[in-house]
Amino acid sequence: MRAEKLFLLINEIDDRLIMEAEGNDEQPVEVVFEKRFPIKEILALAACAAALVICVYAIIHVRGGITPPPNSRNNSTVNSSVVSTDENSTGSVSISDSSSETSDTSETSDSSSETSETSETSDGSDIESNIPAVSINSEVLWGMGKTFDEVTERYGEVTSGNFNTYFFEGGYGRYVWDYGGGIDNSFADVNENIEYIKTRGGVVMMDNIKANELLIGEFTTLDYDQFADICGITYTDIGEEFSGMYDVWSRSFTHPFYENMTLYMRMEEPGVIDETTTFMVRSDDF
Amino acid sequence: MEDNLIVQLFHERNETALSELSRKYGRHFVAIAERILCNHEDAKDCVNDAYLKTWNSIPPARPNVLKAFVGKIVKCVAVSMLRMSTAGKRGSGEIALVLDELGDCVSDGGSVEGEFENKQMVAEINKFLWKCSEFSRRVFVLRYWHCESVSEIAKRFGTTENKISVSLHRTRQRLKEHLAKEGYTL
Repeated sequence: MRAEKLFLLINEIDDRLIMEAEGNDEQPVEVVFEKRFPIKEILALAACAAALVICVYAIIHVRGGITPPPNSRNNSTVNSSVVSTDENSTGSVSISDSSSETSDTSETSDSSSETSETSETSDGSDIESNIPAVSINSEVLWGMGKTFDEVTERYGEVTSGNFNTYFFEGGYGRYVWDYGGGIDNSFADVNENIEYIKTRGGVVMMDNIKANELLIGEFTTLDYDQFADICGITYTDIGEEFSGMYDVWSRSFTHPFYENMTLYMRMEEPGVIDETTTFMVRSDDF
Repeated sequence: MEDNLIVQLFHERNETALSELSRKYGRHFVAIAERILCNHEDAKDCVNDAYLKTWNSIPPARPNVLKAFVGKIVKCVAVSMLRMSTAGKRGSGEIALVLDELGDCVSDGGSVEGEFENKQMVAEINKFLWKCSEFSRRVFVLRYWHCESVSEIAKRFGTTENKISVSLHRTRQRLKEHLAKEGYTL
């Protein structure tokens, strides 16, 4: 009888688990290595390498080499976007040596941590030593990919936290998807978060993530474009729509990396971005 | 038809919703019910009852995942039918095996009572499953939610039945430990 009870409890598990279990039928878990010689892959790799070489050659010889902008030492997209947002939101702290030129040239690139790391090494400067002060909005993307220890070293001890968000002495919080890995998980960013949702089941899936899982900081001063810029998503103005299906008011954002990935901002109150704002992530490309 | 449109039809009290639901997922629901009831005709009756319950549930419900939502109802109805037909016995076929296996997670004492505690336990089971590897998780859900046989799951993953059985055994043990650690006994 108690086994039956457990059976009925399992019947009520998360819908996503149920859908996930059925998904990816065509993909066996154990990878079977193909015995054929991977000539196609090698040719594709060679073509990519050749294209890369041509691009580098063109940049160096046609445009006269890679010259850092005159007033910029930290030319990452991350800082550019963050600075603009910070200035527009709190006005408290900015990275003074990030130029507008840099912002323009890197506007369409992604805002992943890799971009930030590349920028750090390309100009040979220590990006952290150039930041004059710690501010929530100015460094909102710094935590991406950083370990818990790295973040506490920078922002101090945890003052409060919950299952997936921590706040530090420095007033900084980051979202971390903490399923199973404990507190030492790397800090996640919006892209990792969405990637996680996307790959979790391989099926059409909807999920809710909160605004503070995309961004920790002062939301109330941000407009939609600034918010989207920081979060690495693109704001699409569809107006405020009331969804009879989901019983929410929504704004629509799209993700730059994933086609057919839409983030519907579910607002408790139309026009207001706050921590309780939730997004419904819908991926329709499965 | 998209799920959200079907749900909308339910909300509009349009009976086309039922035919669309049946056309899209009917075979899937019958398969689930048949695994529990071991009888095709009973399974079809079960699914029809489940459709009626769905009709009465939506609205007010607005299921995000319609297939899972109705699937849960189908399983509940099937278990109720099984209970009536076997009068306390565990039935036969896959469900009997599933219940036997789930006995591994059950301790000698304790009971599960109360809606609140049930919800808490479901939350713990969810939490536990999300911590498992994707393989273990999917195998577990296919076995104990979808009631698929071990051989069906093995075929689905292109692996051996033994590997599936071992995975299920370990997951059950870990689930039992997890629930005990959280203070739940079944």
